[in-house]
Amino acid sequence: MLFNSIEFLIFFPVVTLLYYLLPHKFRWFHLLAASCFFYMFFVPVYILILFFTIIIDYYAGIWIENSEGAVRKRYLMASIIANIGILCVFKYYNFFLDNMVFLFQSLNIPIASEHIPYLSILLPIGLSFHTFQAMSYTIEVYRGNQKAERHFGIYALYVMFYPQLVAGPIERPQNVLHQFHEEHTFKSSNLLAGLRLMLWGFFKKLVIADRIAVYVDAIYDHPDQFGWHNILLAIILFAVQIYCDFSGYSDIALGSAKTMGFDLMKNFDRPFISTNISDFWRRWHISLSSWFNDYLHTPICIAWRDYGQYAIIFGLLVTFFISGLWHGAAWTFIGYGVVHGVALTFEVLTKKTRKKVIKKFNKALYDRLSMLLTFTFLCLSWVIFRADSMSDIGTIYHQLFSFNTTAFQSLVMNSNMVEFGATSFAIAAVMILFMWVVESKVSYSLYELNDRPVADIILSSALLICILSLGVFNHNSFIYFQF
Amino acid sequence: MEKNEVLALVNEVFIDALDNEDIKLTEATTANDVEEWDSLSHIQLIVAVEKKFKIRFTSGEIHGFKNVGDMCDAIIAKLG
Amino acid sequence: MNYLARILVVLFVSGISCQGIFWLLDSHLQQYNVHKKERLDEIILGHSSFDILLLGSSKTHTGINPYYIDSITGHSSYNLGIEGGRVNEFKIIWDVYLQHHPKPKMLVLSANLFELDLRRGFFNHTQYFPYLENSIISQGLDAYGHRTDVYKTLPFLRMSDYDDYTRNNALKGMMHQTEIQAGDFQYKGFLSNGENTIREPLALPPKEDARISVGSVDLLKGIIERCQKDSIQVILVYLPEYDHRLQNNTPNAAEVLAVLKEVSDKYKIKFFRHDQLELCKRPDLFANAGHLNREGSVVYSKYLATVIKSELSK
Repeated sequence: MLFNSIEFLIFFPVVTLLYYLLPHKFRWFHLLAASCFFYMFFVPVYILILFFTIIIDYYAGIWIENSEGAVRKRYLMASIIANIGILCVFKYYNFFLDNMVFLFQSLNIPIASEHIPYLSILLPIGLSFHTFQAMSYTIEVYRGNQKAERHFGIYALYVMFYPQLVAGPIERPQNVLHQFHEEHTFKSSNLLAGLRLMLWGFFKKLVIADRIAVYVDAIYDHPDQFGWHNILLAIILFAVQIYCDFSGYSDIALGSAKTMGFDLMKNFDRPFISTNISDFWRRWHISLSSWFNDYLHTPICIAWRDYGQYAIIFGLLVTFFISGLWHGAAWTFIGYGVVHGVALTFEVLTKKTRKKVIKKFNKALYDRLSMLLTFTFLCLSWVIFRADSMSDIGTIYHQLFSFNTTAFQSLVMNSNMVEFGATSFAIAAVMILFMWVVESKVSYSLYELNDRPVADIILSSALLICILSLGVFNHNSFIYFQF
Repeated sequence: MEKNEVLALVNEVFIDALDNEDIKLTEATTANDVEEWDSLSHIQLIVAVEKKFKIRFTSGEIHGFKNVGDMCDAIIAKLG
Repeated sequence: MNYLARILVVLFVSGISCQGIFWLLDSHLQQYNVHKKERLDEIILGHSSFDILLLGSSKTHTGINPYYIDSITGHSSYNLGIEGGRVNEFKIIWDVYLQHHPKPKMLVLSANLFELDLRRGFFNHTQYFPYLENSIISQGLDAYGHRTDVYKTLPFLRMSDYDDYTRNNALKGMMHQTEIQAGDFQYKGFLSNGENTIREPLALPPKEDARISVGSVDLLKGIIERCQKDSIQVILVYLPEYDHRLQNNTPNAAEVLAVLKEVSDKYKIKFFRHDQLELCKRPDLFANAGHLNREGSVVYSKYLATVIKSELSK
C-alpha cells in the first residue's frame, strides 16, 4: 500500500483507532497483522521472504547472545550471509547475469541468450530497507549494545512495523525495540504532532514532488531532444523533486508512527544548506548513511587503522560503491555512489588546506559559496542517479555543456499548452518558496509541538488546503499531449 | 594511572589531532559535543590515543565506546 | 488550547475554505467552458435528432464543420469530437449519446494513431464533473480511478482530481476569458481552430510509439458492433495530417494503421485514408501537424460531405 493512495486514507485511521482501543497485550498482534496487510497489498507471496529472514535473525540474535568467542561471530556471519543472500537473489541476480553476458560477448565467447537463467520476478518492495534494518539488529546484539529479543511477535514487528517497512527510516534496535514493549496511553499531543508531520510530508510529496515530476520525467525520457536550458531546469528541479518525494515519505512515516506514540529517527535535516559533501551525508537519508558508517565504513577504518588516511579513503570508496549498489541494480546507481566516494576522498585530502583557507576568507561568504558549490555537485551527481542508462548520462552532460539550443523540442504544442505549463511552474515555484520559508525560517520545529496554537492552526490549515486544492492526485497531468 | 591523569592526556591528544585549542573533555563528552569529532576524525583519534599510551584496542572495545569516560576506562584497564 | 480542539479547528477551517475555493474555481471553470457545456448538455442531456454523427478526437472536433455536412448532404449532423479523446472515451460518448437521442443514419468514426493508446485516462475528465448524475458518465470515470461517489457527497474533493490544465482554465475564467478565442466560433459541437498556418521548422513531440493497449481494439469493435446491431452505417476515417509528419514521428505508425485496417475489413466498413489527400501538402490549411486550421476545416468538411453523401446513397 502506498501512503498516497485512497486505501491508506482508510487504513491509517482504522489502525490508529484500533491500536488505542485494544488493551496493551494485544497491540503487538494488531500492529503486526496491520503491517502484514499493508505489505501484502503489493505482492502477497513476498511476505514469505520476510518471514524467512525474521525467523533466521530472531534465532541468530538469541544464539549470539548465548554463546561466547568465535561461535558468536559464526552465528553473526550466518545471519548476515542469509540476509545479503536474499538481497542478492531478488535484487542483483539479473544484474549480475547481464554483466556476465556483456563480459562474454566482449571476449567474443558465443552464448545463446535463450539459455540464460534470468529470474522473471518483480523486486520485492522495501527489500533493501527491511533487510538492512534486520542486519542492524544482529550486529547490535553481537556488539553487546542490544539484548536479544525473546518475544517473536515483537521481533517480527521490529522488522515489519508498517510506517517504516517499505521506505525507511532504517531503524536501530536500541531506538525502537523497547518502544514496542512499552504501553503508550493515548495522548492528544502525539496525535496532533503526528498528523501535522504527515500533512507536511503529503504537502511535499503531492503538491511539489509529483507536480515537478511531470516536467522532469518528460525531459529525462528524451534527453536528446531538448536544449540545454530545458535540461538545466530539469536537473535543478530533480534535486527538489527527490528531496520532497523522499523526505515527504519519511515525514509521513514518522508522523503515522507518532500518532501511536512511537518515535522514529529523523531521516533528513535540511540537506540543501550543506556546505560540503560530508555535511550533506549527515543531513540526507541519515538512517542509511549512519548505517553504512557504523557497520561498514568504521569497521574498515578500525581494522586497517595503521594505514592512516589510506584506510579512510579505501573505506569511503568501498562504502560508497556499495551504497550506490544499494540504491538499485544498475551501473548508473553505482556511478552515483562512486562519484560521491571520490568527492568525499577529495574532502578528506584537502581538509587541512580548506581549514587554512577559511581563516583568510569572510566566513559568511565562504559558507554561501560552499553551499552553492555543494548544491551544484549534488545536482550533477543526481543526473547519474536519475538517467535511464549510462548513454543518457553522456547525452545530458553533452547537451548541458554544449549550450546547444538547436535540438530544442517544443514541450508544448500550442499556445493553450504554453499557458498551462506556465501555471504549473508558477504553482510549483510558489510552493517551493513556501516550503523553503517554513523549513528554514519558522522559529519552531515541525517535529515538535509548541505552545503557539494560532500559528500552528494557520500553518496546518494552509497545508491541508494546499494539498486538497493543489495536490497532484491523478497521474493524468501531461505537460504535452499527443494528438 | 589515575583516571584524571588519563583524561588530561587524552585531552591533549584531542587538541593535537583535531587542531582545536578549546577542547575541554569530561568523562561524559561524546562526539556530538565536539564540532570536529566526526566519524572520520574518530579513527584518527583512536590511532593517536593508541600511540600516546602505547596500547592496542580491539575492534569490539572501540565499538563499545559511548563517551570519553568509556575510552579512559579501557585505557586504564590496558595499562593495568 | 487543547490539542484535539486544534485538530478539529484545522479540519473545520480547511473544509470551509476548500468548499469556498471549490465554488470559486468551479463557477469560473463553467464560465470558461462555454463551448464544452453547450455540447455536453446536448450529448448527455439532449434529445434532438441528428442523422450523421462525427466521433473522434480534437482532429474531428476542430476539423469537421457540420454546417458544410448539413448543406451538402441535406442531412443533419453533429460533432462529437473530444479533445485528447481515445477509444475508451469515444465508447462512453457514443453510449451516452444513444441513451436519449433517436438513432442516426451514419457514424463517421475517426481513426488516428494514438486512439488505441490507453496509458492515460481521459485527457479532460473534469469537463464531465457537472454530469456525474448520469450513470454511464460516473461509471466511465470510476473505471479510471476517479471517485465519483465521493465527489457527489463532498463536492470540494473534486479539486483533488483537477490537474493544472483545469486550474489554468478556471483562472482564465476569472479573467473573463472563455475557451472560444476571439474570432473563433462554435457550431453544432464544432469549434473553429484559428488562423495559424504551418511554419517550418515544425515543432513536434518527442518520437514515441503509439501503444496498442490491451482491450483498446475491443472497445473500437464494441462501438462498431453496437452500430451494426442498430443498423447505423459506419465509416472509418483517418483525418488529414500535414505531410505525414505525425506518422513519421511515430515509429510504429504502420502497425497501428494495419490494426485499424484489419478492424474495418472484419466488419466490412470503409476505411478512408484522408492523410493521402492533396490538401495534406498545403501548409496554409493546417494549424499544426495534426490539426486543420479554420480555412482547412472549410476545405476538408466540403470534401468529407461529398464522401458521406455518396456513402449514404449506397
